[in-house]
Amino acid sequence: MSTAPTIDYEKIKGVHKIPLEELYTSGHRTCQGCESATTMRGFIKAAGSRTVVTGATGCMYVANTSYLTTPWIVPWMHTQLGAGGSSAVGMAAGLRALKRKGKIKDEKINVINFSGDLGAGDMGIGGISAALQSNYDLLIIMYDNESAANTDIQATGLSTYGAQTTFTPPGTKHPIMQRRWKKNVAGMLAVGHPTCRYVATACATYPPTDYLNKVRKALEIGGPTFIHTYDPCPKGWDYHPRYSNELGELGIKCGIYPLYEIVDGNIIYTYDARKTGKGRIPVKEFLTKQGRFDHLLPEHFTYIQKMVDEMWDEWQMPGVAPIKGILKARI
Amino acid sequence: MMHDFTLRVAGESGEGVITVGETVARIAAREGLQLVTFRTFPAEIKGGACMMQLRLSDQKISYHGEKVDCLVALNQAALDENFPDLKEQGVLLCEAECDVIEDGLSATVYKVPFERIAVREIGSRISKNIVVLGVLAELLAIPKPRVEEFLAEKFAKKSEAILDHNMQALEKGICFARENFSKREGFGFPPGKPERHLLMTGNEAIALGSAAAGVKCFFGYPITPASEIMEWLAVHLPRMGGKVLQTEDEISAICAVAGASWAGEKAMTATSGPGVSLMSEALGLLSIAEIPAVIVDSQRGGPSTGLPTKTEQSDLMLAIHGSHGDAPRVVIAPTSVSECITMMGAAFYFAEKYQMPVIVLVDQALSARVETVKPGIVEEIPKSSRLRAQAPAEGNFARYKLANSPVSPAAIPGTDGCEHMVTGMEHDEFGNFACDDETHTAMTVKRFRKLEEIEHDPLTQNLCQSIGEGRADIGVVTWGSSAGPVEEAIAEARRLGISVRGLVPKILNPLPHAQMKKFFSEVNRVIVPELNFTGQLASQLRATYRVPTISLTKIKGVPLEPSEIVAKIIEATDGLQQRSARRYGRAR
Repeated sequence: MSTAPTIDYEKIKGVHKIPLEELYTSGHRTCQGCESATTMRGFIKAAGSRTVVTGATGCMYVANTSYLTTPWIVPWMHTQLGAGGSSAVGMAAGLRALKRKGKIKDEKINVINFSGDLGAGDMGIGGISAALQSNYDLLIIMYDNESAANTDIQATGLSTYGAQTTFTPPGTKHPIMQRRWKKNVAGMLAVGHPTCRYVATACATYPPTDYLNKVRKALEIGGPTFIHTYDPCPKGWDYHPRYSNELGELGIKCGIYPLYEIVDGNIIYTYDARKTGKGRIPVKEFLTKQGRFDHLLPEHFTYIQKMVDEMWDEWQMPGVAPIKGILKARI
Repeated sequence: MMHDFTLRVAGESGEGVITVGETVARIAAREGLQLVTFRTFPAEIKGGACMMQLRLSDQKISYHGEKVDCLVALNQAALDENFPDLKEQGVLLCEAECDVIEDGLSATVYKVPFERIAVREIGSRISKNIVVLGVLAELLAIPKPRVEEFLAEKFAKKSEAILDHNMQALEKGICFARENFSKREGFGFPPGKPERHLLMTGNEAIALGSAAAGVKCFFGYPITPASEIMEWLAVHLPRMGGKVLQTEDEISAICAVAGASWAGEKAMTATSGPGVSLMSEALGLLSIAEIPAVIVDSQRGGPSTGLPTKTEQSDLMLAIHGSHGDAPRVVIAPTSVSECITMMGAAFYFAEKYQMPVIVLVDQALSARVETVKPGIVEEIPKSSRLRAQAPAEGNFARYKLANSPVSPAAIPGTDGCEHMVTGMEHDEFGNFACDDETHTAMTVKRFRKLEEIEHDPLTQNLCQSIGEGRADIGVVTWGSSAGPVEEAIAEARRLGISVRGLVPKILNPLPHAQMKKFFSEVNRVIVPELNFTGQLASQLRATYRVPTISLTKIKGVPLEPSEIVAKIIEATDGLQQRSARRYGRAR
């Protein structure tokens, strides 16, 4: 592991302790109620000004650079759609070389890449996997709004089962066109990269400050790290912008999006949805608040509920790996 | 006399600009008028300046018009940006709060408080566009029953109240115009014809054309401006027994096409320049393994993400040469929406008949523009089929047989007696790896001989449009969606008394040599207008025919304008006169 200098972050206890300094300011044209913009604003607040950001193509790249303006106060670079991981590796390697040669001061400079669910989860997963095997200090944040939102809401491998997108238009005969179950990117990366010390899932606004602390923890622990954030999107999910935060909360509470962090191989559930009732609410409460699920029939809700229940009740490690038990070796 | 009317609606994206434009377009198509539209998109997810322009005529047109007869500006920014394009005797319709300098202005200005009418009298800001539509209906003499009929259809699935709301808004708009403005005689909609046209965008036409040509598998990945092709096919292709699959990137898309096509089905993908860049390696595989495939490239401003929502014709070199090694492929470029349909048929014809990749080059302007198409056009699509193999009586099946014809019969995998290898490595007749110089030469020659055959194919002879006949001083060669403005420019230049003609090759690799050579022998100077910086067709022509060319390039993200081309033609004519003056002395 690298012996690079680190920054000691303070744990943010309560919303009043969130840093006031804005490093993601005005100058962007994201939609009203855009949760991904909150994600951007949040991670840079948590990380502080000694940070370099790279962003793969996606709606957050398009919306953040229109009209020759940008909300980023920190250095920022755009990279190709599938190149999130590799751009972060390149950036970190370049900074390390400069520090080693004494061209710049030897201090901790955070390298953060943000890629969308299409860029990171579908196309760029190979590059991210390679980045997580490297020994550079970098953090990859996958903001997941479950669609390709910059090209008019197309399905991705991370869209929820049954969701309506322009590539999966439901009809009366075939109400379910998005037949794929959501890809479990954070779990896959955590399970597949034993030397990666920190993988987490988060939501920018729920529980409050949880996300910011996860970013800080990832940067503190160092090495390649990964955070998957769940970002409700008013345009793609078809709901009134004022419910963005609420939908994030409901998604977590109904257990469809498990919230956890894996630190050095130990998993901590940051929202405990293992018990039904107060812990886990019915999935229907979350789905029926969005226009993209308007066409679902009762049996579809039952199916989704069944899959979610199975994840929490039967998986050995809920949300991470769909392993239900160990059978005896049959040799 | 040709009736011709150009309307432009400009405003903020999300204000209903496109709805107004599309409504007028649909009504015009039902009235039997022909039309071409052009629209700009902001690169933002929401908001940003946008406009839609329509040109209506009772005769066939191929360009969306340069100057507008009527401009509707919904805010000050839209007015400032679009005002220079208004004709001198035109009509400006703008939001009441906009500042218009009326001194010395010959255009008629109508100020309408669209927003106030919508908010105060209807009670909702969203109805603003319907008020605009009402005012336009009155001013341009659009038949009111048609507008009502259209709105009723549009809101058929919504509640009665919403329809009522919109009808009220329409009525308010009409009343306001009737009370406050005097109508100009003969201004507006040309008289209709008793025929109906289909109205579709280039992307819809491409999707429809490929479905009609028999595509069974589509693989794709979202990218502006080609996503609508997959969106259309996702809805309609499964009903026709086809499959649409979204892959995780463009490399997977083209490789899935290779798989499906090898399995015997007609398969295609659609993408834009960045996608073709990723597909380049697999293009080589398709060439060497002789697998049919159709790739639609809807070009946008580049390189990299470039101008993702703006038009450009800068992928020609990539389409012809992209990929390593000598990898032949066919490149075709439709020039209008109607041609998007028929040329998809041609694409599958070449791909299946000659067993090689075919790239269809369109651009954002053509992909997004709405145009009238005559019904029954799908009947004109050429039929395509692949040469099927029979199991040999004895010995192994030679998939890549070196014979008189460079096209060898193909076998569906699993056919008894036709077992063979398909590989990206250089191979002998049976598909076995062979890296000796003789095989490599023979096989490369075999693959390139297909291009020679294509050049003499009967279908290729129709893929070159000549504008004008005989000898001329100036010849204009162009491709793709630039053909529309070139056609207009040539007509205009002829009116000015300049001897000029044009040629539009619709197949760009291989070029239709016979027609090209004849054309170059008949003109003195060649102008090549195209939408890229380096003059890609011009360099291709110089390299192939050794003709000096005058490049007219533009990379502003919008189509060429006829006046720019006319100016270049005049410049070239002056040059010609000077040259003849140097040689023969000045005329006295």
